[in-house]
Amino acid sequence: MQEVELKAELREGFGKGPSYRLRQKGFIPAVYYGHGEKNLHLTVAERDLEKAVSGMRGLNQLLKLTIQGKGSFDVLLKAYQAHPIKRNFTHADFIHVDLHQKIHVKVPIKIVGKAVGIKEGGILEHITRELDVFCFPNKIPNCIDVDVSELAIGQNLHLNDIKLPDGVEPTNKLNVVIAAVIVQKEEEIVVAPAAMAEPEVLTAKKPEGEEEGAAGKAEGKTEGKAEAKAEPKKEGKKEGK
Amino acid sequence: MLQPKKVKYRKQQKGRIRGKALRGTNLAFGDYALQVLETGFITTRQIEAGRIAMTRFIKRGGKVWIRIFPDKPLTKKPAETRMGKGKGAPEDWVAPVKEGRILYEMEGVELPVAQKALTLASHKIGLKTKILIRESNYREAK
Repeated sequence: MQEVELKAELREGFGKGPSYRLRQKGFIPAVYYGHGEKNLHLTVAERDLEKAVSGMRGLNQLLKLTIQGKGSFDVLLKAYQAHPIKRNFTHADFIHVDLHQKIHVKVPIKIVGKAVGIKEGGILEHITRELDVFCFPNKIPNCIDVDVSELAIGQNLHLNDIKLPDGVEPTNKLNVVIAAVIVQKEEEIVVAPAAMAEPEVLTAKKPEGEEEGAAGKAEGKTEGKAEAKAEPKKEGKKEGK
Repeated sequence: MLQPKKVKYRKQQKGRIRGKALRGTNLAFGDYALQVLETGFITTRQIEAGRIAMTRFIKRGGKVWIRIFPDKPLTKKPAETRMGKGKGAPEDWVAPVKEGRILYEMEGVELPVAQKALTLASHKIGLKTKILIRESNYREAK
């Protein structure tokens, strides 16, 4: 796997104020740690990071992080924070990796082919979209291709049914479902009532005349309460006039 | 239409919605989604109208998820009533949404069909929205 270069600088300001000012300038706060190395607070140009992880490997791209005054290290993007609407990076965590030691990564699963069940009227449901695997940092697959062309309606494709690339082992011992073809349900045509029924009110007080223990008629109780309240008020208003 | 089966109290105060959505901003089930870009209330009727518009367009094929639930009652005083005499009667149910919240998700249809269906649904929602596509303009926000 070819490494992608990324430059970083040591960060001096911490907290939301300095981080906000950094983001305004097009940089993001980042941190570097792992393998007994002392953690370092960094700043990275947001654009450079976007470019670095925009390749085929996406977020699993092995990076050569060059920190000014500290040297260069093999790192992976361990975690990140992103804006919920713009989806740009707002923070990044880089973990130092040993190229001779297997690591735990999430690899996306890509569905290939059109299932037989879809032609019969079913829907293909992609249940597991990422697979947790152990592999060497420089041999992380771009994605795991899964052929679903033989799946009929009601059939599932499990983890044991797919062949993983060489040197890649799943971390999960469970035989999880990757994809399934489910039956399409007909939409029920429900005619909406003119007025929606009121829900059951759990704290509704019972009217004075009703005995305790007559449970399960909360709706009636609510109405009774409303009527009992409304009547004396009307009377009072008339008297006032 | 969506509404709670049981509630603790019949009426609620209006409240204020502040900030951006921190939950329900990522695709959880499908490949396409409709994300709201403004903060506000979405009524149970709007949610239902959006769902019907989508499901009618995609016909057979495809699955739709609704990611919001209207659990807040809105009250209204009758017309031509003087002020006072207590809070009005519950009239509607709304889902308070913050900007960034995902409203619907969809799976099992082609991209152009999903885009058209979600656009139809967005016309039923009284807030600005955006279509998310897992393959192109999407990165999970954490």
